[in-house]
Amino acid sequence: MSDPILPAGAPERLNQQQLQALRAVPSGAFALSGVAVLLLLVAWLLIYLVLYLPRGMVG
Amino acid sequence: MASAEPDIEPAELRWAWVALGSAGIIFALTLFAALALQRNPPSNLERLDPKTLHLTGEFTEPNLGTRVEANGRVTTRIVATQFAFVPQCVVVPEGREVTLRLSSADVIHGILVTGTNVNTMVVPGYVAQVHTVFQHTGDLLMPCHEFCGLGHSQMYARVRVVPQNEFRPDAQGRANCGP
Repeated sequence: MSDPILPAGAPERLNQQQLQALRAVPSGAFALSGVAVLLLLVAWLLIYLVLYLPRGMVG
Repeated sequence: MASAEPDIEPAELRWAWVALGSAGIIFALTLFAALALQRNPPSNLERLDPKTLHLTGEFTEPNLGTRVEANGRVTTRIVATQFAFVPQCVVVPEGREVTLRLSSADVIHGILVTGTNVNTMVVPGYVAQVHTVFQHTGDLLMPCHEFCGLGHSQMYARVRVVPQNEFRPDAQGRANCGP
């Protein structure tokens, strides 16, 4: 019966080093995505507050 | 295999909150603008016959342009055709609610008024209606923004916003751009 996650020929158990690597949260990736999302949100808010709202009522 | 999920999962959950939170902020602000500030996309549903616009009904020639109705409302009626808006210039008062009503005699057109949130499609067979309050005086451009044919790029009207004391409708309530 083959493990669906581990490829054929891989050890049954991971060693401590591999486990440690897997445990590390990809904080760099989160930081990058966080900055990107923040920039987009700020851009949206700027357009909303500075351009859209002052242009007056429409309905 | 020992799992690293207990460490990754909280980080992913936190990120899910960030994503949902960003979308939630945008959604809440949009809802606020719609409900509290009366900012809605125009969604009037009113039908008429595009083939007889010039013959009967609301959009006959004497009825076009800006008119102050009996109840004090300012209504501007414009017909969109290939490739001109009729009338090409309309005058509206500043700081007062204006209702723009448009219909098309032929193909789908669209309008926007620069510097305002007025933006709608003008579909033959329907009346497009937008309410707005013009905040600043001046000559605003109202181009056709939906491709309607060869003359589309030359198709535009002028919206002249005048101060309220300069907005003088005649005895029938009509106001024109003048010379």
